[in-house]
Amino acid sequence: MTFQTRLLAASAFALLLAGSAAQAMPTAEIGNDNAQATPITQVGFHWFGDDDRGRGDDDDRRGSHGYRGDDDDDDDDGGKNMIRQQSATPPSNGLFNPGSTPAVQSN
Amino acid sequence: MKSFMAVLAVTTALTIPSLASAAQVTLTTKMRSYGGNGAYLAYYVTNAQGRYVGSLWMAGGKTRYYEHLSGWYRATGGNTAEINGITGASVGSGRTLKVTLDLADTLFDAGYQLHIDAAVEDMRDSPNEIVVPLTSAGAGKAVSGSRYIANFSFAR
Repeated sequence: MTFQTRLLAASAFALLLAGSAAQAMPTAEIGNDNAQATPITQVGFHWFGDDDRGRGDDDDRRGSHGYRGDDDDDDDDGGKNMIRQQSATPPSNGLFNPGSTPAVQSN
Repeated sequence: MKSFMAVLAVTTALTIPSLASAAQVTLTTKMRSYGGNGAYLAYYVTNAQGRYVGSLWMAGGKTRYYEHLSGWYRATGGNTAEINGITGASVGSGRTLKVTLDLADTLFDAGYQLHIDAAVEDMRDSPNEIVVPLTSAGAGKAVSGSRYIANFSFAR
């Protein structure tokens, strides 16, 4: 191996190192993002703040002034806290004849 | 022909007793035009001692609002197993809800009472808006509600 070949190989190696260092830069930026995790945590605190406000709403709702919610179109939004019926069979509470199915009509 | 008669006799023997014990009861609830969102209504039964026996129907599916049906909620702790299979949509202002249920005959003329709690978003809760004794004599007679329900009746 001639000196020039070794020099070329060393240059290539140096270039490789530089390339990997450059790729390491985004990692450092991610590190910066991580360093900015504090604001994210603070956002979390904001959520707690929202929750507090929500509790305030709950407190309001616990009064005699009807519930406060978002269901102006009542039950068809597929949102959470919806009761999901396991079946159309009434519970066995002794009130219903066995095997019966309720029928409902609204107009 | 003989086998047909035998089948007919067996099916008749099986059907008639079930018809005799079946009590199709229609609960009709007409809402006032109160101007708010859909009302949540809890229909439940108490015995002669005033103790909760069971639920008949729940109009309204969002469990977080059930606490506003305070009579039902106090009796059940908000246990949704009580209303599994007997839950439907809330009832709009001015609308009429008819629920037909196959109820045990033993519910009638035995001291049981039907209660309806009502709640409407941003409006006052109305527990025990309707309380009617489950009697044969009471069938078909309309009872006025105090806040959201214009009138309620049941028919057998």
